[in-house]
Amino acid sequence: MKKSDIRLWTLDIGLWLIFGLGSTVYGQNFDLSPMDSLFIRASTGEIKYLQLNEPARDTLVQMGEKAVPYLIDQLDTKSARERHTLIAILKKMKEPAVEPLINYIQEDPDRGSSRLAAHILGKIGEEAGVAVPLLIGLIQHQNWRMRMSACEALGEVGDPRAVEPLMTALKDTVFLVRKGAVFGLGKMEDRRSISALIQALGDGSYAVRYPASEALETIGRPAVPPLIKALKENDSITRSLVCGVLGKIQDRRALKPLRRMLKDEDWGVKVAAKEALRSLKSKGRIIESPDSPLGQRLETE
Amino acid sequence: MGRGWGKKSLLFFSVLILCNLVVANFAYSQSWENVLDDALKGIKMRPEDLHFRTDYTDSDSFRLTIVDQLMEHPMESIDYSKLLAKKLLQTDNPLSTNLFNVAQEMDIKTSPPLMHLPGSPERIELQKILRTLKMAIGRSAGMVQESFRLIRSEEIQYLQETLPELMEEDLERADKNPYEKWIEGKEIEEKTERFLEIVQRFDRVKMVHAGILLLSVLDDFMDQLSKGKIIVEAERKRVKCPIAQGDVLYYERTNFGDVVVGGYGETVYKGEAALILDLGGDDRYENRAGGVLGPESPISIVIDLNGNDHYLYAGDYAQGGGGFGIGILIDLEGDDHYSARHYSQGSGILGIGLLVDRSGNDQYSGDTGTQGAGAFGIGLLQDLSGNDLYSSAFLSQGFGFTWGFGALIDGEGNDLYYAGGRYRDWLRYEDHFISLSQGFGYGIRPFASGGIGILTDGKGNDTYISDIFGQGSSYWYSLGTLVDFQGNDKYSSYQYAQGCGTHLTIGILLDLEGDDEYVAKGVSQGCGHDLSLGLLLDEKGNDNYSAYDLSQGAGNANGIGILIDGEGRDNYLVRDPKNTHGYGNFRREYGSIGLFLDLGGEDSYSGYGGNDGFWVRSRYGIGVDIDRSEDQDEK
Repeated sequence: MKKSDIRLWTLDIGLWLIFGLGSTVYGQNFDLSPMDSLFIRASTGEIKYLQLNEPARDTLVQMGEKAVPYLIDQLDTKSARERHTLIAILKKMKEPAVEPLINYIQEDPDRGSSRLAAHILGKIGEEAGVAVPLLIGLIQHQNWRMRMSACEALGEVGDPRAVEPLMTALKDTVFLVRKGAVFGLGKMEDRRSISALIQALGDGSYAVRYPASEALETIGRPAVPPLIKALKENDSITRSLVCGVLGKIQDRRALKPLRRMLKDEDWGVKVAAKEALRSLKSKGRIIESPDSPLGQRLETE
Repeated sequence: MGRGWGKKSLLFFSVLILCNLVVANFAYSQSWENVLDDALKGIKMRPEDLHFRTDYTDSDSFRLTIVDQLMEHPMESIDYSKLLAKKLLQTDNPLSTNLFNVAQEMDIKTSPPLMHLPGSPERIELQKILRTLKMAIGRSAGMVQESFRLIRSEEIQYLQETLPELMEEDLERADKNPYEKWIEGKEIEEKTERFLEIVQRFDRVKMVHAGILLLSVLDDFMDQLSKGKIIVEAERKRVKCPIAQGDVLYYERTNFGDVVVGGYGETVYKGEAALILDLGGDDRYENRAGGVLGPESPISIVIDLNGNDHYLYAGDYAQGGGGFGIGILIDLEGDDHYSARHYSQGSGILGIGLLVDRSGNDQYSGDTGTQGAGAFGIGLLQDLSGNDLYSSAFLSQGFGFTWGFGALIDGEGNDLYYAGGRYRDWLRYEDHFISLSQGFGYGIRPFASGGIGILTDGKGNDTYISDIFGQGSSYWYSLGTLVDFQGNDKYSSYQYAQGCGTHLTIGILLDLEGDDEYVAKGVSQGCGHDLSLGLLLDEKGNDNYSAYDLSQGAGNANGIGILIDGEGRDNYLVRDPKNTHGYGNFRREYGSIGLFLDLGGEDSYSGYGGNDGFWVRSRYGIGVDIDRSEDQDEK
């Protein structure tokens, strides 16, 4: 008998012990399947029973493909807590969940629960690589929430095939889709996206601008020259964000341009430039308090 | 950008570094809107970033236009709430106008039919007035029944049987185990879907027409009464009445219910009536007293002109409780005592409920869906003056459920509002109780958007007590607002309160004057949780704020939390400085927004804030303490 078989046997006995007797655990009989009972334990949000969550979730994860059909059936739940539970379980289960989730989306990509399936594929990460073509296709879906989920999932899966489609998604009319695309690109750390990400710093929504700045920070030194150019952007928020990114990247090529920004007409940009210079000089560590000599020097610099 | 702001901003932001408090002396001459804009700039945001979409989830046919508008432009909820509260507090407004205005907010755009008493420069005999009132009741009753014409009688029965499962808490539920709760939950989901499918066929416009028609006649009656034009002396002969004992002057059985006129002496009312007009005396109402559960006998009106009255009913739909019909109770004078269970005291459940108490020190006691509560209908409790006591358990005191508008409107007096203490919050705490009251909007997640709940208090030193969910808060595509205009007030709650939005919604508390105290544990005092706005604006006075965590300008899970204090020497106390005083956390790959603005006075802080300074504790949150008054002095 293989080791995995023994594990499953143990699990089955454990389940019987829990649920064979389980229906009487609370002194009453319920018309529930063992899987129902386990799922209820995994998803209860009640403070008194929270300690049941993790063991039940772990059991479901260990059950692997045996539990998958039941869990997939639950994807259309109306309960936010149950949705969180499904994400938590299936993302840990990884490979056994991938194919069923793909099939679920393909069956009906328009239903709301398919978005949850796409989201979970993303959370599974690299192991969901086989889903990339499907997810790329979903970037064109008519429902923006599906487009957003697809973008984010592609980022989490981290397949380079997704870079170009994600750059296209940056032009989406819905800011949360653009946010998803920026997040996805940030995960890829691909130089091809630098210019698109810099453009995203001027986005109308902070939900796009901030992740774009973080994505550029992650890409690092290759982004410095175009970022320096972007210090001439008309939009002051963009210039501020560019200063911030340059400060974080810690590349000395940015020193002079950042100093020039201390004379910017906009106070927000000046402050951002000072912060960036401070960060740059201190090599990313805040080693001085603002009223320290360095702080005072920066004030008058 | 305001004059001088650039230099000041540069001066202070120049030393602004993450995780460091900046304190400096300076002054400021801008309105809070300008300060807000500049604070946003300090965290590289624009005013347009204070915005939510209206389609994070699939929309439903119950979504109110105003809720969508405020989600898209959350800061407009301040002016909207103020204006709405002012309108409701206008005591010279005819009742029909109030109902008309409220209906507009509920997307019921209508030109209702009106009806008036016979106009006469001379005094009118009561009998003539009764004739017109009876005609109005007859017409309204017909219209109410028409509003259910697309719903079969067995479906109406289904609605009446299922509604309690949607709105009421079962005391035994707390002790049930997760299996039982799960099974129950699934059953309720199914019932909810069927309920919502049926209720969509309820003709709200027709119901509002019926209400406005009825109130237009009552407005005339009240007007002529106040001008002394109504002759009642001729009616002093006592008659026998099967539904009342004591001083009864007139009794008639009509097609749409009984009509009774009580005299100036004491009267005890025991049975139901379509219309009771009581001229005075300390009366006792043991019936529903202007409450109905229609639509069979859909109208009940009580007008009590004088006396210290007792309205005591152990059941539901009483004392201005309009269930599947219209219930109206108007009490003009005296210190009165109102006690009923659910859906009472200005509660409209698939109907219209109105309780108006014009004067006296009154006591209101109820349980669920009471004291200004609306569910698929409109419920208004209007108490114009006196020191009043309001006590309820759940979904009360300005509560708006799906397709509902509920308002508690108190004009003057030192009032005490208490909501909670009966239904345990078994989900979160062993030792706290759910309130969902005192300006609370509530939707059925994820099935149906919620309504508008407003509590507004004009004058007086008031005390507000709730527990979990209350005091200008809301849940799921709704608006919950508490607006207190004057007085030194005390607000106490535990969680999800005092300007808090939870799950795609708007919750706002406005206190415009007075030295106030705010006490809460957390997710309160300007806290937006999960794509919601939670806002607390206190315009004037020396105020004390106390909270433990995630409060006082805290955004959580992509929510926006804002605390704005206008003037006064204030004291801010928090236990956890990490997520208070302008804090926004990171969720779903982007940030929540937390803004803390104190615009005047020398203030004291425990926590991260500081007098006269800026601070940035999280990437998406900022705190600003400035002194506008100093700047104005300089000018």
